[in-house]
Amino acid sequence: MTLSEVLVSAVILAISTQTSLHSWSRITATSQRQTALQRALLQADQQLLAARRLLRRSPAAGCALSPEHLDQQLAPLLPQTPGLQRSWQQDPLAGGLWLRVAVEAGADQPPLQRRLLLTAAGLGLCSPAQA
Amino acid sequence: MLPLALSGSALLLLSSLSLQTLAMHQLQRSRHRLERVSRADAFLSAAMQFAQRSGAAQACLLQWPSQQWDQPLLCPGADPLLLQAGSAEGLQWSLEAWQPQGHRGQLTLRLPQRGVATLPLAITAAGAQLQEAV
Repeated sequence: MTLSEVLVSAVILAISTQTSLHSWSRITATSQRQTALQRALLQADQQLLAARRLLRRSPAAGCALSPEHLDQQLAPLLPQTPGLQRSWQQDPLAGGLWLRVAVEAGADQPPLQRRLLLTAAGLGLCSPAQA
Repeated sequence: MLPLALSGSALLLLSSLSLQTLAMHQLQRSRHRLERVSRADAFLSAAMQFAQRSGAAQACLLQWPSQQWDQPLLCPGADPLLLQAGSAEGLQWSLEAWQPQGHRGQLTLRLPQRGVATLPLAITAAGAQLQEAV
């Protein structure tokens, strides 16, 4: 084993270790992004699905949906957790309300956003006389 | 010494490379899932608008396949155009087909850049309504 062989081996090991460490930090960052995105997807799913199911079982909602009324109904059952924003927007042209859910999807990442149009007729809240 | 260093380096690099590929693959899967649910939201929203418009005089049309809606005596007073296309907040849709089967119907919609999808709807006296979310 010569000195030059030891030096070359040391250099090779140093370079590969540094590259590997750099790669590990990228793996950690990617995994964190993936976990945050997965969590945000799940939270948004829960919000939209629960909102649909609760509204469908709520005859008090009536054939004309109002954002204030819906928020009153949903707030105690679907609390807004930190990092999650839920909002309603009336859309007279579409004849319903847009439910928008924005969930934080990790640091330095844009929030995950989903939107769903809900109409009273689509939810089965209208009687034939009201339709 | 040198072969050992080369083997160790190769092992380090290969393991980190494969783990990085795995992490990227999982992130890509989550992004694809986001695309899928966004597409489903768009179709569901369009179907909600279709259901909202299917009340009143248009409810009569739900008993017939959409290919027959242009017959003038089929449902006097109903406006088939209301059920054939719509838009809301940048979401545009057009009807590909409506196929009733008893108290249910298959709604096939086309959304620009999102393709075509079929959704099951229930037919009631008040019009169409979406099936229970599961």
